[in-house]
Amino acid sequence: MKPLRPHPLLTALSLFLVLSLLGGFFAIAFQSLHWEWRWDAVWAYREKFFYGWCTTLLLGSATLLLSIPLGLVLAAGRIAGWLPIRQFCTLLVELIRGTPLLVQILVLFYIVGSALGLQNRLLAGTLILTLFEAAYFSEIFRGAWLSIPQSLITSSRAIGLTPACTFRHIITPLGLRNSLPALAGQTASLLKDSSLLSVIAVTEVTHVAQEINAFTYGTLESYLPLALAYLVLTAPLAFFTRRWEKSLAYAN
Amino acid sequence: MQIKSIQAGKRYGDLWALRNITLTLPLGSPLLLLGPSGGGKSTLLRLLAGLEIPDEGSIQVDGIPLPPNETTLREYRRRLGFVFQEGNLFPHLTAEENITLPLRHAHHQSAAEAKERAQSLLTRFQLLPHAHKKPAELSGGQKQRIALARALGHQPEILFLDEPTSALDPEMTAEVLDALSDVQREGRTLILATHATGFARRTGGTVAFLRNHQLEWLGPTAEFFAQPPTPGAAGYLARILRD
Repeated sequence: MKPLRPHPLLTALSLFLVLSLLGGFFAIAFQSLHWEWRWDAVWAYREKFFYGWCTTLLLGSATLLLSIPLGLVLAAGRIAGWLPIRQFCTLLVELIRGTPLLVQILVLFYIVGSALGLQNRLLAGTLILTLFEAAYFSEIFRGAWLSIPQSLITSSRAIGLTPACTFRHIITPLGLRNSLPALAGQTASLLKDSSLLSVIAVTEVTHVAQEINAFTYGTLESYLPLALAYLVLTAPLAFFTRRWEKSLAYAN
Repeated sequence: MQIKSIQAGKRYGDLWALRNITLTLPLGSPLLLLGPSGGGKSTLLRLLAGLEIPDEGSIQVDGIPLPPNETTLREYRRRLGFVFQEGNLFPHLTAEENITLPLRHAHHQSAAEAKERAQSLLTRFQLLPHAHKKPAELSGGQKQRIALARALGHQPEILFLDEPTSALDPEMTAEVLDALSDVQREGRTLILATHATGFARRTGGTVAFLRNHQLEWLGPTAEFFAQPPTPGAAGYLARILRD
């Protein structure tokens, strides 16, 4: 059901209230800490920080581009595959979703990566993260696929569409509409998950913030900008997905 | 196209939905599938239309049994039209796109050809003002008439309808049945599972009365309504005519 749209003035007033409440709470919390802010020490590392942020953006984009097709393949394997393929995909997805990313990064980089002679940390990190996110994307795609009513599939067979045509014209648009919020959420998670690659010294933005903290002892001055650096990426994502969702709506 | 069911049966799990059905589709005159719900009407329609594969017996088209392979069955289905009880239309497409989709992607028409055909069908069923609406914006009766238009788009030799009005209120039912009478006057073969006895009686043709997963009676419609041929048919008619 569509909620009623309140008056713009009311919206602004309410937003102001919510912001001041949240802001006030944090202001009081920080006040009680008696933290001595030293932004100048951290400011010296701004270029390094920006470089780390760009690495995160690159790493995140590459992971997104690779993990979505891999997620589709895993979902297809679980739904329609030959029994051994189905078992393989199910096992892989459950193994990845059931264990901490941190453990996967360490095992895959230091054991599997070393065995394969893969030493480039950025490349290895991207591949490990791709595998992890693909498992989650595959479950989103599988759910979207299963959410499509059987009557529409029958309808599609009755009018003589091929399975490929049904996939393209029926399953994809309906599934995308159903899974868009989950996909956007997972993409935001993906960006934040990339911070764990700092444990294998990929110089993404979290790793850089850790270094800046070590050099300057400015913990809050290093990590608060870090939070902001992620927010700059995730907030537009949420905003644009909501607009895209509206453009795909087909029912009230 | 001559379609025959030879001792066909269909099983779901351990349960036979239909057994030992032998009949020949009358060409150029309607075949009405009547009988209580759960008696096997839908299953027979799906078998005849190549949407399901029989577990015993066979469906023969021009003397050749339909093979249980999806590619051949798809080619066969492309010569037919099908309207279901509900859930026919694709919710993300407009009325017009719902009609053009099979024309373009199953019958290889150009976009312009498909659009022209869709517009002429929409005009015929007085739906042209709704061409650009999505199914959620249309009434049940409008949706079923669009489903009918879509099923007719490629000039099918036979039109299968599975209780097309059972989910509609009386006014919308009349709307859809009027459209259907119009289609019938064209001389197209209709195979219709229905509980709309008034319409069935007016339509004429042949009745196949299905009860308890069997074909209980097959014969002229007028005869069926004049004197219910079996105790099962008498009971069925008494129950539906009571409302």
